[in-house]
Amino acid sequence: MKFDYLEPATIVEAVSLLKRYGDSARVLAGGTDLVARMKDGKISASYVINLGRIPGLDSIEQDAKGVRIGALTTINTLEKSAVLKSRYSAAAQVASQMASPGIRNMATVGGSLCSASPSGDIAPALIALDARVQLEGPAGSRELPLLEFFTGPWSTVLDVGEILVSIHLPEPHPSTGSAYLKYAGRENDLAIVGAGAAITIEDGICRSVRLALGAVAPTPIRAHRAEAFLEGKRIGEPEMVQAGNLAAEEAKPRQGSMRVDPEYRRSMVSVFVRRVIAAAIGHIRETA
Amino acid sequence: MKQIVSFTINGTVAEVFVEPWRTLAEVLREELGLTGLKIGCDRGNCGTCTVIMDGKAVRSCLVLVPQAEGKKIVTIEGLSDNGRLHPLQEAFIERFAVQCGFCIPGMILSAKALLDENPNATEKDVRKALKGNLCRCTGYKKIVEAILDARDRMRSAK
Amino acid sequence: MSELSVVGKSVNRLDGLEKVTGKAVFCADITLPQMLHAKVLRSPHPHARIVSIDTSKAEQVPGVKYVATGKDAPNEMYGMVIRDQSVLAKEVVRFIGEPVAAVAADSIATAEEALELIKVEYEPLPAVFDQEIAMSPNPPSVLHPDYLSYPRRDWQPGDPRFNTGLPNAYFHFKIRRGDVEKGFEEADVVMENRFSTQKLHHAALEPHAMIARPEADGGLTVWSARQAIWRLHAELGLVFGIKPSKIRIIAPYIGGGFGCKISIGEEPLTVLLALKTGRPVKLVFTREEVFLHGGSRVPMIIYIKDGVKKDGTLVARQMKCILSSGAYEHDVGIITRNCAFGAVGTYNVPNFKFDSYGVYTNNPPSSALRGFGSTQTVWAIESHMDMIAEKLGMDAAELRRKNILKEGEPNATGEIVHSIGARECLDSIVDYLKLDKKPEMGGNWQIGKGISLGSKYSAAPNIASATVKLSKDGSITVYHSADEMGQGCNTVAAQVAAEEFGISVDNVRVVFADTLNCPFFPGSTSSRTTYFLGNAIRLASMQVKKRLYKLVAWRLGVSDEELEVKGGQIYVRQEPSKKMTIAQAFGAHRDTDGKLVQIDDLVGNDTWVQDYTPEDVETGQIDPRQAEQGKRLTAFYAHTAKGIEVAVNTETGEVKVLRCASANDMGQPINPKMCEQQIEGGMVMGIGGALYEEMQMVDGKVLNPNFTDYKVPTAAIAPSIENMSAIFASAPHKDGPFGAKGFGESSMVGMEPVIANAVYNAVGVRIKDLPITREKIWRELKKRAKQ
Repeated sequence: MKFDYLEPATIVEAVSLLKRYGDSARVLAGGTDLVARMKDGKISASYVINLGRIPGLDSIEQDAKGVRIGALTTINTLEKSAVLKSRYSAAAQVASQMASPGIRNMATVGGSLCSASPSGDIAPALIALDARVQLEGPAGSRELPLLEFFTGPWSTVLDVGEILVSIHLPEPHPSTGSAYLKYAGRENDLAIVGAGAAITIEDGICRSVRLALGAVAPTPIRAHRAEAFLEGKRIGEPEMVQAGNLAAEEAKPRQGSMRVDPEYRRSMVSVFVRRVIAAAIGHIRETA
Repeated sequence: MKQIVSFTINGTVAEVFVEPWRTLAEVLREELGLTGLKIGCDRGNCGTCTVIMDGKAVRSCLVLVPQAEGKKIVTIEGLSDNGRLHPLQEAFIERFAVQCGFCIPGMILSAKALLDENPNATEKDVRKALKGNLCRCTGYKKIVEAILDARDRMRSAK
Repeated sequence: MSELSVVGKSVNRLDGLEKVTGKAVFCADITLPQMLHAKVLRSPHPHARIVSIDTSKAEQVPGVKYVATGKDAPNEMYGMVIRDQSVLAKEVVRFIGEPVAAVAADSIATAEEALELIKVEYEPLPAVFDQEIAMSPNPPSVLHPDYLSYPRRDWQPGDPRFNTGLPNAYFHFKIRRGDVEKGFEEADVVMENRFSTQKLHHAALEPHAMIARPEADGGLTVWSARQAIWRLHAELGLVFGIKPSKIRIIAPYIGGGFGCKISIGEEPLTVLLALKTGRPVKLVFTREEVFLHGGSRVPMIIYIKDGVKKDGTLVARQMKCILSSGAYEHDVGIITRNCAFGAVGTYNVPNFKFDSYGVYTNNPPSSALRGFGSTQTVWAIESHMDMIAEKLGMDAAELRRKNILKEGEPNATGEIVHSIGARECLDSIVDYLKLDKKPEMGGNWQIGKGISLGSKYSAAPNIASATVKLSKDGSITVYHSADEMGQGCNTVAAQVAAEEFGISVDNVRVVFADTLNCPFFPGSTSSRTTYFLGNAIRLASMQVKKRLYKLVAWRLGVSDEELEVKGGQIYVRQEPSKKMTIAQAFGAHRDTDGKLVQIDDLVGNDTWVQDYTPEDVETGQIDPRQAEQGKRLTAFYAHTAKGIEVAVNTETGEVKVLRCASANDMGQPINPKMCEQQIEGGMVMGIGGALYEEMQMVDGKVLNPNFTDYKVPTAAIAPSIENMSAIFASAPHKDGPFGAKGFGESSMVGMEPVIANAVYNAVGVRIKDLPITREKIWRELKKRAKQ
């Protein structure tokens, strides 16, 4: 790998460089994904643009409407955040289930989302929390639901010159609990199934639920049918099982995968969606 | 095109003149002769290249050297203090945690980063923190015992 | 035996300090003046003819010093048993990853750039990947039509077992004892099954690394992270036509071997580049390259048929093992023969028919891996023993006890059994596991327990030498060529020498793995080092003492036989006050003729010779008369039993190891803590081989040549401190140093079947094809639920 290395000092400068160099440029955040894939020859870049020196992108801030996570926030910071632990549990839980400390200390939330790995964990965890992403580009700012950020395996809606700058999580309803469960070969391996859930229960009835899945389709998905089934119901074991089964039907696991038998993966969707709903409900009780 | 990158290494300021695509692991080993860190996979999966950068354990094989600009880096060579071994190093010897030795520098530094952050780490904490440091010789038991021993030594030294 | 002072004690390892400070030098850490870097271009086809290679553009890259292809390679071939490998592929490539060209350049980046510019035209040929298909009389691909004409290292001159009559099977080993057909007729229960093992990767953390430097006198120095340096020494001399005395092989500390660094690897092509450029050339494998050409455990298909009586007595056993050698023999010829010993070491089998075949396939070459065929044969046997026990309604431990060989009786090769700690190992495991108790564990977890028994032999014939030097300050230096790859052979060497001279290990220095300075050692393989090196050091020490006593005896007015040496003093055994220090002994003095005598040090060198008697090529049996005289086929067997408690999740098929123990019979532990190191490491490596690890192959391609997708056990998977136990059993060996035997491999033998047995005990699912994955368990449970 050979490239020119650039360190813009501001977002505007970064956007301008990315627009100028187009496809031959890549963004460097933590580097744990970019550098590994460049070594494998899967990515080549003539220009590597390090966003790491731009101030203001690497923290988690509460605002009037919720919480804003800067794109350069490391996974380690996510893991340690007291704010996330209390009200946005899925976001805190996902971090400790990813990779290892050596990776988490460098890898960033933005980098993880932008690499758009089909088995990424951050995306389903934050989608369950109804995340919206904020992008800055040559045409200005825009924001959209995280669910709509992905267009296919390893690809996003980012236009040439666009950067993901932050992710916003709306303040959840008071009786909401969330959780993220990952099922992998060894702990913290690439997910076989990544399941995120956020559920609001009032007077014993499920008012709203978001179920997000990673590693079971070309992009992270929401299990809408399972969600529709749960909404308005009192959720006991049979409901969780049924929701799991519905979610399993919505999954589109990769055929011919060397890593995991698609039938097995689908079956694990039932198991882990069931478990993550229970975990999310359990979290409501904890914080009540 | 080469550029100057400057960082503190084991307490001393170093300046290297290298291409930006070189990794920190290569530069530390080849330009600065710090061959204690090893390259076991060059993809950040095995942990043998672990160094401590600004207090955090990182995979130096995945760090592009310009990212290290201005940072404080500690390698295994910087762990002993004027010939006095760090409690982790003492414990690793006395608890027979060392076999082939290839994983050891990375293992010790990951352990140090853990204990510096969590001086009361339990066995479970240790195993979780070290899951990215592979060892093929030991089965991990004596490594974990050594780290818990070092934890106790460090706690009683305070 | 008198009280031991150093042997049997857990002295700190000699290499501990170096390794915790990062000072220990591994091969890739070495830089030499004028050194070039090598990169290798590898075949993308599993079988192809090389039509043309154009290196012209590559040669023009600034900084490139040489581009070598098959036309530069000598005609001499090399190998372990069959010399079937060429330094670089000449006309045909036979596996994905085979070296086709090599570049030496002033930097790795330059070499990589040049590699991209080499144009190779291939004509793909039919390929065969499955060893059973490859073994047929008319396989789709014949890898080495002329293999019978290749030079070989036969076990016996003109060994007919290489002539199998099958185009891809290059060796057929046989054992015929008694009459199996009659035995099956007499049996009350006959059971037959097929088992298989996966392609397993050693995953030693250190990738292969080597540096070759041409010397001014036409000789060579090669640094290589490898086991068995004298093998390389011999092969390089043969291939390049260089006098052995001009070749020097040095192995620095090795970052893990487990058998991946035994076969002759890419040192020859590194030497080729060094000779062509006249400069030192360094080659370091990437992790991916280690997966391609660093060897793997031999995938084996095992057919086993057992006949037993109602009371559990084994009457007949028949086994057929088909070994996938990969594209070259690469040590698998020896494994084809020796894997039989895994079926010979433990049980009395009066009627035994064993056939094993080493088969060429268009896969990356297999190689030695801890256990050398015994882990695979024991996988089948110990799984089968449990299946038989269930069929008979008999306790699994009791079935095994009934059939364990006894000291003094012949085993299935006719060797008279000596030093068999199998029963003791088994009893301690049964005690540990408390088989009648099964805890509850909520959710969908079911608990299961399992046991297994096993052994690993050490090969014969072999010799091993050591040189011991006693210096005037009383310190000892030991020179040996065993491989320090983590098992601690230098510490063992120091302890044995320290024991011989009654000094502390602090006063012993070890010089190792350098063919110029250290005498011959066949390689730290076959669990041999403690036994062979320990014996060699004791013999060499005796030589030193002989010379020492001769120097001193007359000065103390006694005869040589009356003297002892201990703690730096030579003294008269019956009158200890009559003594002198080593410094005094060596210091200037006049002999009886008045001649002035003064010496610096005394050196002794000796060789431990492990005799053997050969097996009959048709029956695999040794001559009973030779056996009666104490001649053996092997050096020794070390025995082991494993016990494990697992939890299996019926929803996901996950298997968690709750508790495990490994009992090992090593005769006399030289350093107990170091023995624990091996036992614990072997246990966890076995857990990996049983549950997590598999090189996934499709049409000769490794799909997962990285540590993301090849899953070795991590600290989070390995059992907790209190749940992993190392147990010592003791069956001293009369020929071992202080009774010691080696057990570096038996520490892993039996781990895979013990987990299969425990999984069966938990959920009634019997997996016969390694690894025991969650998907396999889940599929079986689903099938059962449907019925």
